[in-house]
Amino acid sequence: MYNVGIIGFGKMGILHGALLNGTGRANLVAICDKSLVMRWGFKRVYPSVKVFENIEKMLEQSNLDLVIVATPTFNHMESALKCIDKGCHVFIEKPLAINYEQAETIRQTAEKKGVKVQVGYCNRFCPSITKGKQIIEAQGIGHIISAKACMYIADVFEAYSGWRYCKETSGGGVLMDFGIHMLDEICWYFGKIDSVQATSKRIYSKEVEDELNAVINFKNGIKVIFDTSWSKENYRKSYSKLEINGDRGKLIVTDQTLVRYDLEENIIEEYTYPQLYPGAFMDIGGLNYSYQIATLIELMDSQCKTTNIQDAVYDQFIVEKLYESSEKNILITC
Amino acid sequence: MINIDQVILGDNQFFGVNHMSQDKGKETYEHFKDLTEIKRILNYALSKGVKGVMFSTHPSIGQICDMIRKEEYLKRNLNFYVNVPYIIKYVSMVTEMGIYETIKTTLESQKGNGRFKFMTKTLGNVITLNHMGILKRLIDVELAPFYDLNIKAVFLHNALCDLILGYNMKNVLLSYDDYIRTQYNAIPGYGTLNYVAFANFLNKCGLNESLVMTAVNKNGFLMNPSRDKVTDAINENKHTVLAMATLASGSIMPQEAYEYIATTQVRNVVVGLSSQKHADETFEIISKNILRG
Repeated sequence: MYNVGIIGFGKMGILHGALLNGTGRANLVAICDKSLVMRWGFKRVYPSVKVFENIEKMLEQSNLDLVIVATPTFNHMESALKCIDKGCHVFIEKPLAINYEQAETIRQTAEKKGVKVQVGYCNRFCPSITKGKQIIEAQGIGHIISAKACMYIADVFEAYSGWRYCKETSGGGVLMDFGIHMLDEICWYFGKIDSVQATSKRIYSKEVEDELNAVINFKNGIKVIFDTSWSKENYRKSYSKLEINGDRGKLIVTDQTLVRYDLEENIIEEYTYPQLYPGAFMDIGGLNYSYQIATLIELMDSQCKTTNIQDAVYDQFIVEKLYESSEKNILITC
Repeated sequence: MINIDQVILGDNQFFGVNHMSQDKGKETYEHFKDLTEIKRILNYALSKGVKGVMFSTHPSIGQICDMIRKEEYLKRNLNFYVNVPYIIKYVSMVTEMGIYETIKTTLESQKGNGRFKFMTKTLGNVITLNHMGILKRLIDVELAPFYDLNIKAVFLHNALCDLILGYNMKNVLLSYDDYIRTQYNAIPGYGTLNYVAFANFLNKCGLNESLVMTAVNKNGFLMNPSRDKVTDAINENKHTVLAMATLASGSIMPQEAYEYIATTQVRNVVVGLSSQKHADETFEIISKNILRG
């Protein structure tokens, strides 16, 4: 049984804690949150938990095997380094940090300490997206030429003032906070990037972009048109769509569905969310979160130290290149 | 067996929720956004003997309840099964403003004559960090639009029930159960996507004969850990199961879907209607396969 602590007991922290308990392999023993209401509110309904305002005290007093870092992004590095220093394995919500430099610091420190750090790119665990990866690896649409990737949600329609909308605390806007899921997905599918050219737009937010679109050229020649927005009406829930063109067909993968076509646009295979639902030990907010946590437990069990941190650092590197391209309005070689 | 309507009309189609794809959900929303259309469907359901209707506390619910209160026939005959809270609203609010501000904003949104008493009670709960009190106030806010309507059962949304399950929060569950019975004189119901574990949890809480809404369908969609384990657990427990997602979000045709339900012990279903033809067909198949006596 792994003893788990959570730093930042908001929406994601609460979800991960419940799922970890639900595996029957982990036990939430401590939380650390700056809000008194959250700390003591949770303690009232979950009395066995120890609550802390201070990370060092939590680490000293709780004998933790694993810590979930689900604080606002600007705090990720500070929290993660303290845990790594104590030899605790860490799961960090995406994005890994507010910039590439901090992300790389986390990676290097974890490597030196021999600690495992996994990053919360949960879209990789969506059954449709996993299946899409298998299809392209099996050459299901032949050699890939190009793709169109978009990720939208109807969230921001006024100038908000929270940490997410301040460049210093978030590191960026819709790309950093939300579209990075799609960036992670295309890098997972297509590999390393050669160059990017991006444009971004502030519609409501004062400091960060609300929309970003880009042309992303991968080293293997695949060209991806990328578009993300958190100010898109009619997208009540997060929506992602990746349309991939190969020399033997086309594949359209959303976070819930998958359709494969031949070159004549005949459907070869098609899955909707209900058909891609294999079930899990527990489903709270979607199977992707459940599988992500199951994988985390497997990672804790295994001797192998390979996690997705290298990819998460790379995502962060590309985000910086996209921002640089958008600011200078030039093509940037990565 | 808890006595509820055997067939309950779901409200997803009124609000554009479709798990197959968001695009399809948008089409359904366009089709049903108008109150006259919702009224027509409710009247149609009553004409088919379907008195139960399930509503989430969607932002437009106030308008729908106002319309129903004005329609004596609907008001007198419909039994309301309310699903609280309207989770998507809170998820967005929590993303924007954090949990504390979400609770504060929601509680402050309470309107009407009882507002002062309500706010005093809430303030008392906050000062004493009485979180169960706060939860009850949130339920009051959610149920306020349904005043004067016949609330038969109040379901706690599956996302919350499954969190309560994950944290094994027996007291929260018992407190909810008691509050719905005593304050609203209604049946407390529980939504879950994890029936096997949730049924055990209810038993451990001493609530051995509860009303549970969970997915039951031939594809095993939203059935965890697996379809067969869920149907076995339904047979082994005394809870009354209200089946949702019987068509697995439209991926199973009604005939096949309800023939499957007939092979299980489930005899209460939530149904969605997307067209008159679909509705006629669905009711006919249900009455042939599911209805008792």
